[in-house]
Amino acid sequence: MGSAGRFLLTLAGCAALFAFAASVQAQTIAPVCSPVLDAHEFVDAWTAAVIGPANRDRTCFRQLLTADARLTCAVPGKEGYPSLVVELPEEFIAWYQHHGTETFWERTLHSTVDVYDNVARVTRTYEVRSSPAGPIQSRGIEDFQLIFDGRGWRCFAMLWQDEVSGKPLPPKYEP
Amino acid sequence: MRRLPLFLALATAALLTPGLRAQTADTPIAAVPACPLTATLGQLITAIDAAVSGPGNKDRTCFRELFLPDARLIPIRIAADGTATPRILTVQGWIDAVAKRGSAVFIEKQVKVHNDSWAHIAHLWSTYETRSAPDAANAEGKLMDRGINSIQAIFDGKRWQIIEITWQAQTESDPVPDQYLP
Repeated sequence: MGSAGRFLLTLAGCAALFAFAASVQAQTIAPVCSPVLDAHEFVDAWTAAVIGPANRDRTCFRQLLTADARLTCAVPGKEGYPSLVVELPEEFIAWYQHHGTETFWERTLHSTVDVYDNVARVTRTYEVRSSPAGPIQSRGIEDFQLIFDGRGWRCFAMLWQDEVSGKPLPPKYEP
Repeated sequence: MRRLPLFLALATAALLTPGLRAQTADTPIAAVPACPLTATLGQLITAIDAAVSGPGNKDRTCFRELFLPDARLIPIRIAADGTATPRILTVQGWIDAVAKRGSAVFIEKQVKVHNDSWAHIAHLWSTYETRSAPDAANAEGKLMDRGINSIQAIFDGKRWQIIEITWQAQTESDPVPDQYLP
């Protein structure tokens, strides 16, 4: 191989290396997660961080929670006694990861917000579908306890319950 | 919110919340007859005031009855630079901290409460006042403090119990807004 050939080969190698490096960089760039500076905007940020493929990047979802947050689901049981499922953020995320590419889509039907200085609470009614035009899969209520840590509003306690037959959501919590 | 398969929820709940199941399924309310019932959210508010108020080192049996075993009590502390930091306490942690006040009496009263509730879950956004013990000069006691309690509660079929409560006392620069006052 002549010097011209080696030069071209080197050039091609460099280009391939550059392309590979750019590809790796593109894959590892963390998504931009805007802080929630107004508690009234928390629900929209939550929805945006939750919807999509189950195994999507959850960086922005994590940033909406404090490290020691608890997410508690009340599940109605027999004789009126509920059971509670209490999860930490990573356990909550792991549930989604186990559902691979299954898609989740949801929207807020109604919400109320109270704020005092660095504490806030948001109660919202949600509706879950697999796509915006898909059939309704579930509805329910989520209640968020929020704190403003100086950089943004984050949830440190979320309590939720799915709607069940015989216990429809009250009209005041519907659109 | 994601869909939660019922069988998974029940199986997981059995592992993660033995305290709740034991309380709800096995312990009759009559086991603690001296403590007020909390069958409604109004009763829960009244019971909170009664259980909190009194000497710092009073018996806290009824205070414990208001909470699920894994409940968290979270006062928000405001640093000099305005930064808010939560301090997470267990029920026993709160009792121990307040007991250090000894026999000094303080009275807490929820003066305006807004609640959202449905099925087994509820949120109470409550403005509280704390006062010193009543005396001849002041029948209601001297107003010491005011703030917001933000409470999440669970209904087990017979009574409401608290699972999370956070609070922030007002400051001179950030008094409780008029909309949350009586």
